Amino acid sequence: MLNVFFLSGAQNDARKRLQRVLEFMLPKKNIVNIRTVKDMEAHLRKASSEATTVVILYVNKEKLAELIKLKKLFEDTSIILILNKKDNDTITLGYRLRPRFITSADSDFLDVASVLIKMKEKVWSEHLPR
Amino acid sequence: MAKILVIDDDPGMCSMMSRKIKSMGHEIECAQTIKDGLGKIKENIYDVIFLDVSLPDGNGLEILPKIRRITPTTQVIIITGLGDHAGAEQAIKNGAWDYIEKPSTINLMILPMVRALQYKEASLTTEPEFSLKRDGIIGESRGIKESLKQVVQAAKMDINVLLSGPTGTGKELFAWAIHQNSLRCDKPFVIVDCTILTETLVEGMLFGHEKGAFTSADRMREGLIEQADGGTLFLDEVGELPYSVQKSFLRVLQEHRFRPLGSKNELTSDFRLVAATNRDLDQMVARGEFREDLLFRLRSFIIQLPPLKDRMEDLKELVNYKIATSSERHGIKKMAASPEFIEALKSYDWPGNVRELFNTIEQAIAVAANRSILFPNDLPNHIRIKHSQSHLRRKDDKPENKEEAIQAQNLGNYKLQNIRETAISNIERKYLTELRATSGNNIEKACAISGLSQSRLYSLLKKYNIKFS
Repeated sequence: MLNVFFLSGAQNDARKRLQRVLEFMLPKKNIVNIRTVKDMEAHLRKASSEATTVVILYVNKEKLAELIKLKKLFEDTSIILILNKKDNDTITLGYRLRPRFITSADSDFLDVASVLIKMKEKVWSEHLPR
Repeated sequence: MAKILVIDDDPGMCSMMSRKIKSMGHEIECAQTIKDGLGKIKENIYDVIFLDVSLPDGNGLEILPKIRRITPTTQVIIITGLGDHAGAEQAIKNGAWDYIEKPSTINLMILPMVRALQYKEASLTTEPEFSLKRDGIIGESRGIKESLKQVVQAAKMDINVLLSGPTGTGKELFAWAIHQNSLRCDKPFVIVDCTILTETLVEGMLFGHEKGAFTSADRMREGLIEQADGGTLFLDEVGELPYSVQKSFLRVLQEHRFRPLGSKNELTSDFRLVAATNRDLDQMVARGEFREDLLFRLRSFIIQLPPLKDRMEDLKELVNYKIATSSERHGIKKMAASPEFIEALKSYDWPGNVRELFNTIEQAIAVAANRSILFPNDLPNHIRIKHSQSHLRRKDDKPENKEEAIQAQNLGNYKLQNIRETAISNIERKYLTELRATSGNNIEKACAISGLSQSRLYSLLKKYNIKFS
């Protein structure tokens, strides 16, 4: 089972496009929409180890700095990071979260979809009987 | 004083080497079988191991990778009666210090050991104090300590590193530790997870592309290689890197220059590569799935991570760490693991390694709910079954009552091995007595007649207490 915690504070076109991609890829019940870093923390603390969690963060530099303080809670998750700025400072800060995939908000998010497909395949193969 | 182990079933060879090595002021132990040798290696730290190829319970070359895993900083010198090119290649590929043929003179056999000890001493003397940031790497077992020592070395050098080990052994943590302890720690640690990138995506991701470089390239994209400039590029599961991309990546590794797709200009990037794999890249090369020249570049420095079953002494510490972090994460009171819980975990061989252990602990905590102690009953059935079976096996191994034990001891004399050894001893003793007479009590002549080396003949004479005047 693949669960997605989707953090995005913004209400814009990119967010809507990303939301559509996610809903196309996964059942709605597996997607948790999160608006604040505080809510993200609460969800990560409740997350079960039985499901693989992918955290998608569509954030700016300020949010990144807050999220880095929660780094320990991201230990068992895979992060897909979508940055709305491409400056070196933001990118360097983003890498401190050790994302498995990083892209920018001006993407068509087909790259995110392709990564999610691979992640789903990986989860299935890991759950096949040995 | 160094500690040396000789694994050779030839008692003459062992005693000859023992004399020589002791005379040099070193400590030496001998083992006649692989089983005996591995037992000693698990209990002691040796500086050098002499390993024979033909042993009664197997081939020394086949066991070499396991020895390197258990004790990566020990140098292994392969000694063989029948040297061949394939054997030498296999030995060196698997990390042997040298591959030498018997019977050489004792000095020729000792020389590689002297060099290996000099090498080790030189490595140690150049190593200043280093406070290692190990961030989530738990354990004090010899295997983990050896791997951490290599992390220190790798962090100080700016060379490519290949982390090899089965799934769940913490390759990403080790890659992160190398980055964190290196001079590049303030720059990005860029992860390229080769398992989640499709063939079409990976090239654009690594090298970047210009707008219009291909059909869906509706904007310019900076590649991960460029973003890793000054930092570390971590290629996770490098065995999954598509063959078509391997050639272009090899060029980047050689020249640190690359051209984004659709671009006329070349860019440079000063990154250090750390790659990780759970696959046998040599086999992939043999099957034509991985480029040999790329593998050659990747393996400048190899760190072999031990599977959990080879470092069970770390299990308790790992369990306590996971209980503590889970309790903190979920905001629940900290539980304790009962001794039986630990025992049950130890009886399982953990094919999924630390990752599987941590998931199991999380599940056990959930099952235990409000209890403050974890018991074996909190574990999944497959682990409990294994635990029960391990008890049964132990019971089967040892005779239950005294009568059976005595019977077993008496029957020991009738084992084929004992009969064979007695017969060989009788024949050897008889042969040596006749040899003494035939050679006219002349050692050199006895060697010529028997075809034995002087050292081997002396050791046999000593064994049977036969004296030449």
